[in-house]
Amino acid sequence: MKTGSFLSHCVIAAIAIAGTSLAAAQTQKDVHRDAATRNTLGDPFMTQYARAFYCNLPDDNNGIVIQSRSWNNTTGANNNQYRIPMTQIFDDVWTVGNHYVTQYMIKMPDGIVQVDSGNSATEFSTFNYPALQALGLSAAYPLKAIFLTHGHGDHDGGAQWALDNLGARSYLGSADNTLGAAGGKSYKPTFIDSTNLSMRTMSIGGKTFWILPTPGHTPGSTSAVLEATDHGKTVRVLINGGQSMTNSIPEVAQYLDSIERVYAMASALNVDGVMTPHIYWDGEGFYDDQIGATGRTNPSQNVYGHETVMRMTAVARECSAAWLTALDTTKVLPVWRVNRVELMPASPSPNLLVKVSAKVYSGWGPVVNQPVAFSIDGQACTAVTNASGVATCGKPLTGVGTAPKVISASYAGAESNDFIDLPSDATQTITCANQVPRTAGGAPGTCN
Amino acid sequence: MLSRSNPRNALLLVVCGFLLGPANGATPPTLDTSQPGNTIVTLPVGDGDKPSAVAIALPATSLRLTSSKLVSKRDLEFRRADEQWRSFRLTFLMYKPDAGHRPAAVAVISSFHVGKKEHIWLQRISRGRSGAQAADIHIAALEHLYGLALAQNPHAEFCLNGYGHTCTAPASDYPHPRLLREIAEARERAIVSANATSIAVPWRNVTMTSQPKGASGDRVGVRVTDHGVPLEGATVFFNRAPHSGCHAKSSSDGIVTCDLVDQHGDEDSHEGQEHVPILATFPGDVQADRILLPTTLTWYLSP
Repeated sequence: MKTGSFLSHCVIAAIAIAGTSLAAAQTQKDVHRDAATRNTLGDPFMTQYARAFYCNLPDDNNGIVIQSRSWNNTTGANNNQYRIPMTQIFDDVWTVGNHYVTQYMIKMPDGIVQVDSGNSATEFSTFNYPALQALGLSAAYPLKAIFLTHGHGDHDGGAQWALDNLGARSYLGSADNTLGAAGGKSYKPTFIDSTNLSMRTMSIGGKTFWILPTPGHTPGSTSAVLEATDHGKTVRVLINGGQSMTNSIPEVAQYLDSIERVYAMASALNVDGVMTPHIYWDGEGFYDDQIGATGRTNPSQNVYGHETVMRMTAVARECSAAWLTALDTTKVLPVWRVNRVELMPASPSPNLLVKVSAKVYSGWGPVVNQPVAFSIDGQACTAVTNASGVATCGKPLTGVGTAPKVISASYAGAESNDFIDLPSDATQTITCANQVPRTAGGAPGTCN
Repeated sequence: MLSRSNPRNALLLVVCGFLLGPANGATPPTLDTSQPGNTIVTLPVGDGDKPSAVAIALPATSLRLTSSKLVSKRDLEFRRADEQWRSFRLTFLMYKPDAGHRPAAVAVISSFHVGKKEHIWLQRISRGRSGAQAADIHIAALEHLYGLALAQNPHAEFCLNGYGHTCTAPASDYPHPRLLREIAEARERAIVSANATSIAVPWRNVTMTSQPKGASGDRVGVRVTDHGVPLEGATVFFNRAPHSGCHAKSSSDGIVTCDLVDQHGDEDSHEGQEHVPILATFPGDVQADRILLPTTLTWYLSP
């Protein structure tokens, strides 16, 4: 794939641009661009993809998105390197498309549910239809429904073909019905109420989607979370309803609000995976290629991990805040700071008092003088972080035996006019190979 | 995140036949104190879309407004709350005196549609206070209102009700830049009236006028002036739905031009684009001794 070296150049260019701008007095835009960078915590993959693409406009680096357009190959002719063949990303989910935009097919017991419908009828009939057939499409095993992230042509272009030829109805945010079609979409979608911004569940073709209207990219953009099975385990994956901002203050303000609500949804549902149609945006395309070349890992490459999904969303939030404050320089927005809690190595001491330490830090350094709530083998304990961001707590182990003991540390976050420190937590399991409790006479117990 | 409270909480009373006095449009409707928690909102619900006063219950929940460099006294706490009343989307600007006191509405933004066109009315809610603090609150409310007005749909038609202005009917509404200018002028009057010129940073209106269509169908441009004088070095952002945009800085004659580029990369053609309005946004310029106000301009490219 040619995209790697191109992206590297773009990232270097973006960092150079960022460095130049930040040398001057920091505007609100630059404060938030800097925050987006810091929130990656130095993660090179997130820097190359999410940080670069979500910040394309405030970085004045839209070339990376324009370049991505050239990957939107809908025919496959002479450009096979841009097509992504049908690729299994979870036990029950496959993707097909190109390096610009893909569609997802979810196998259900009684049929298939698809996310997005591709660029056009031709693309659907040439690539999606054979993929569906390979998954067992038949009269008895139909394409039951299509969830459309929004009403732009690269997402709903195949919806009419799917309706006409497979009888599959599409679901679309109601506010996108007249997008590019004054009289309404010809494929007569079932509407998701875009005016109700609350998260709710919805059955689409028998598949449960947690849906969240997220206007901003388009008025009817809809994000979602759904459950997939990965090597026998249930994972929850995030479908981002629409990336890319405009130059309109109210639209960017909506986009920012939507990302903040996506963050809340992903946090509440403990999302740990991604399934976004524009796969170049968060790096899924890289992993699709990797799966094609060397196979799916366990867990799947699309399981980014909860902490990473949240951090990536916070990066997107900061990029959006940067762009909004570029369009309105009078606006002042608090910076979202991602925090990480790391449990330090813990081992039960001879008297079975377990001392646990946790370090809390962000891209701005250690988090100082903040409470950390521990749970040690079911017992609560709170300590305050020191100048190095480390909090330490001790509790005696209860019970006897070698059963694993769960230890967790949680930072609840904090708020000021300038910052919103995001909550974070970590969990670890410890075991004693041989545990002897403290005796009634006071003799110390042992744990080794 | 905003919580949209239940619309069923909204309507308590429609005050029929209450029309704004045409001879004294500067007088805003006063609060019906017999209905605690109610705010009188002027909406075009009378015969022929004439404005009538409607008593609406304030939403129970509100959110603190984010900071703005437009606001002179940032220690005054203002909040916003959104409400849906019938087909009207209402945003209340509220002042919260201190802990233990409920926020009270000082202005309301009402959005509604006439046909396919969105109309947005901004209205002062008089609380009948006087004194230095009341003047501070009045000025800060106008400063917050400017920020809220800037974030409204710039393609809508607007009207400012109160602050010396009267809304007579949606047909008389006007474009976004005029609304912003009227709010700025109302703030200026409030500052002079309160003799608060020493605490408030002067605001200056910037004017943008569209430039003739260029040879390229995607070339857009405006001339930026500050009180008639060309403004050099001003960044202007251009937008055309669905997501084409560009930005550039003005030259010494105040003219900014650039070529719209599809920022997403999936706009198939420009067919019919002359029917899509162009939006130009001047993002403002904040200095210690003056603020050049952010503003917008919308227009259609002539074929």
